[in-house]
Amino acid sequence: MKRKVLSILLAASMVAGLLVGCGNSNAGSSDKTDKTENTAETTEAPETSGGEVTLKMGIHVADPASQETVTYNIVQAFNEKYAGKYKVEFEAADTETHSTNLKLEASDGTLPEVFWLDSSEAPEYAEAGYLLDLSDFLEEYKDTDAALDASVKEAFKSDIQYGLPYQCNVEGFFYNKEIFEQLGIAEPANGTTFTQLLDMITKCNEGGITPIAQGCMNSSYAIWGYLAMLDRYGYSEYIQNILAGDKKFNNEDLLKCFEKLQQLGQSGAFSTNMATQEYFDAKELFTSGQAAIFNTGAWDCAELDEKLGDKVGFWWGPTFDDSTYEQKAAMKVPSAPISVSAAVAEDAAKQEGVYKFLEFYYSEDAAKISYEGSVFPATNYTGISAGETQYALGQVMASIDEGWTSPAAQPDQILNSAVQAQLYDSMLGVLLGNYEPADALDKIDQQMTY
Amino acid sequence: MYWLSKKRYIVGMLIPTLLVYSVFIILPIIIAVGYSFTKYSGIGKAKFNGFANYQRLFSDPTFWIAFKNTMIIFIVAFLLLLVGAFFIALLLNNHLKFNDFNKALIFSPAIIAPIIVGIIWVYILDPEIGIVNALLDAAGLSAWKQQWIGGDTLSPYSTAIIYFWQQLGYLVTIYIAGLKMIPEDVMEAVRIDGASAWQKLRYITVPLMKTTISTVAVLLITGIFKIFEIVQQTTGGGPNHMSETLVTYSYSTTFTKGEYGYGMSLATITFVVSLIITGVYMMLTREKGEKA
Amino acid sequence: MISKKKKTAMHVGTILITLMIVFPFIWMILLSFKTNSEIMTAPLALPSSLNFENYKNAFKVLNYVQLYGNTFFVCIISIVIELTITFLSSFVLARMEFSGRIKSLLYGFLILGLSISPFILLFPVYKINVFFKLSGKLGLIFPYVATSISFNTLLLVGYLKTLPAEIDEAAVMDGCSVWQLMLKVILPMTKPVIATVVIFNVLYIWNEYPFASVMLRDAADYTLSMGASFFKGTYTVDYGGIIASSIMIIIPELIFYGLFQKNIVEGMTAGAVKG
Repeated sequence: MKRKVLSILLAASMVAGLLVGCGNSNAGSSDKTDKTENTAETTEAPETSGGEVTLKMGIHVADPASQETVTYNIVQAFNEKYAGKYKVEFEAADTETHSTNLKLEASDGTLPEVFWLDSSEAPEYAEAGYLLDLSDFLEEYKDTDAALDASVKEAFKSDIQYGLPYQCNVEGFFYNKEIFEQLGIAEPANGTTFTQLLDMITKCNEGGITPIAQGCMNSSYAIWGYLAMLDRYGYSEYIQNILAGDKKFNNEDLLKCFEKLQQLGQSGAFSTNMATQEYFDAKELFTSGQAAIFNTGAWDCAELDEKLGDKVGFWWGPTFDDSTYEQKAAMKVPSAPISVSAAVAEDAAKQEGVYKFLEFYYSEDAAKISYEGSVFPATNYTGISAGETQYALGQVMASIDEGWTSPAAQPDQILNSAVQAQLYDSMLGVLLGNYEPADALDKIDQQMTY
Repeated sequence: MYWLSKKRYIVGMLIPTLLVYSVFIILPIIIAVGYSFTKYSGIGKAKFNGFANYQRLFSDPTFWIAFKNTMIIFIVAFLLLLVGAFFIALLLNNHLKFNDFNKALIFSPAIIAPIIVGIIWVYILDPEIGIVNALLDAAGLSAWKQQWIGGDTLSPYSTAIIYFWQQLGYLVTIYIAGLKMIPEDVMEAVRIDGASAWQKLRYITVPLMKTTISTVAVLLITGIFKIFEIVQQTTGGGPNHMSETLVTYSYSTTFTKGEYGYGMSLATITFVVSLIITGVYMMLTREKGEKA
Repeated sequence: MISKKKKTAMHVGTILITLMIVFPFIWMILLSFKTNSEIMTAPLALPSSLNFENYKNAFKVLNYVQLYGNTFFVCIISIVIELTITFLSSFVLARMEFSGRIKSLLYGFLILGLSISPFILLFPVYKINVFFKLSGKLGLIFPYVATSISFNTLLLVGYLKTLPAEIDEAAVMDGCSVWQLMLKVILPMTKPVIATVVIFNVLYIWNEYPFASVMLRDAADYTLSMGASFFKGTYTVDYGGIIASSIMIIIPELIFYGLFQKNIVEGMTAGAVKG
């Protein structure tokens, strides 16, 4: 009896499985997953796909429509504009899977035409010959060339122009104005010193508010706000010497910087469970009004607007009296590169399509879409301002207008993945009080030797 | 059976399994071990570098932390599950009401997606927002509060507990099955002899369950050395690698740090350690079996 | 006879243990009715209302017909292949007569796969798949079959060894061929252990993520386990969506487990135990 049940079930589920499996792959174009996730085609896209060239864009989130909305919208607009001619489809996976998949695809020649690439891995791809030199593109499309500042192109240049910036990262500290008002503390402003910050922290703690929301677990990369602090101790000026082996991470300037991180940790700036908090939990702590300051980048603007409205302020982070380097150092840098597969050069139609896509991606129209979604584009179009309800973006733009200098590249992104990971680990280790500053720096130097 | 054991049957029936297994398990292992002798980021070409990765590994403090944590998890989870699941099986192997229902429920953690296991257990164990510490506070035992996860010592023990929770139903099921194998008349005879519960257990149940216990042990050893998601989702190996296990460390080295070659040397060592422990266990129990 | 007091104590004991095990499970179901922000700020509180928003959202983002279909497809094909081949090889190892040393070597060789973490296999298996031109859903089948071989061998060989040799002899006397012996005599007797193997392998494939994430490029090929990644981006996370989509994965598993629960126990009785 039981055997009968078993075999009937098996057979039934097999039939069901086959039916569903096949029926579905045929009906693919009309179903939801296709529409929203993987092919950014608009429903009104014409049927005449005769001469249409399809381009794949590899992206580092699984659901671009909700997780990289700006890019999704730009691609939509591009597909609309070039309907019937070119169509960009997403090849979407979460960051870690995306990175693994690109490595595998590079090895068997199935890279998507265009793709978001991790900055720390990009040079190796370029060296291995997987990436198209975009100098030709820039030469041909003068307007695009002009829309991208030399410095942002420089960030992704070796022997070849192996990539162009995906977006622009603006990073620092957001704070909750209401909390500062309630506690009767002066809000931080650009130029506020580290000593003043320590004072704020003490007062926040007295008022029962977590001073700085910070996540560590599976979020070691969430040290954006502290990157400018590295620069205020000269990091970007001598990092090339370090990479060349002429200088160590464990030098007197970075040691001073790391000692400040240690003081920050010891001052009670963070919640006691930051080791088990993710970046997302920290964000929730801040947006729910339980923490005064949050270290992040402008990508969180839209979410901050929604939850904190006009209560949000932005600050470049503390300056230091004991450093001889420029203190007016901000962090407005190209984010990861978009790169193009070298194989594209073998197909004139595809190459043309990719060029058209890049032209559109760096166009003023795309820049507008970008600002609407509270994301800074890599281009330098002027005269675009934040919308009325884009409070956070407005605050960030006000800080940018103060004209502080920025390095050509984000300090962590110059390093290869392994050294980068160690930099994160060392910085967090000092904040958490697990490492002494000198040991933390030694660990990075040690990683450099492998 | 002898006259049916023709060579062509033996070979023919073994070949499909051996083929798939060799191509999709053994060959990949060989390739992975091969990469452990290279410097490779996963991009471009691997560079042979001899035993450099293995030399680095033995002087890598994080490797030893991961090794220590893995052994802690192994000892705690192995003993807890081997013994705990056994007694819970004894408890459930009665004709009590609800026991079928209980068995099904006990099995349920095994099918919860790892990411959820992470979310749930962080809310239980987190030192600040977790239930355990909140309960201790409520009971006036604040002094007992601990950094169950996220500190520098207790994470591997917590991992072992979560693994216990996750695997209990699975192993209880196997034990109950074993208990059902013991013939009723044996138990009846013992009862009439007036043996105490302990004597019954010591001299009858356990010896008769030897093979079951051994199967559970093998599944446990190999399973514990593969624990990955629990750690990944509750501490991510952190803070600062302090709760890393051999598997999570080799994973993060391979995929997050992009040191494929070094990551594979870590993976190879993990594999070898697990094999050795399983092998030793099997040899020990086999010897006993032969004597008996 | 067990005294009444003792019986009560045992009742209380089992119920306590079960509650401890089940509490997180029920909690998860409660969490699925809360908003993302409620989940993060007040994880313990009961949901304010029976809010199906997370499920609606999951249905909006994911195409469940396709996800279930693909998962079923991969599951069924893998299970059929692996049962066929491991039954044959286990039959040989358990019941055919040849050198004992080779036999235990082969057995050890096939069991050794239990010790390998799947992520070590990812890169090489991808390349092997490329070599055989297996991609998409088809690229998952052999890795799934291969990873099941060790477990299946452990259980099947263990069980098949316990069936008395007289069965074979009697069957041969009656003029059975090897195939008839296997299919008509032994296979029916193996039913419980086969059920066990099926259940554990179905559960494995149903939840498998590492291989799926590496082999599947096209959303039309995605399996259920890929669902959760749609709710966790680089800068955003939707715990509500993750939990709701996970419950969508679990429901069929619970039904499946419910249907096969008795067989699991019997299969274990039969297989693992005597091993």
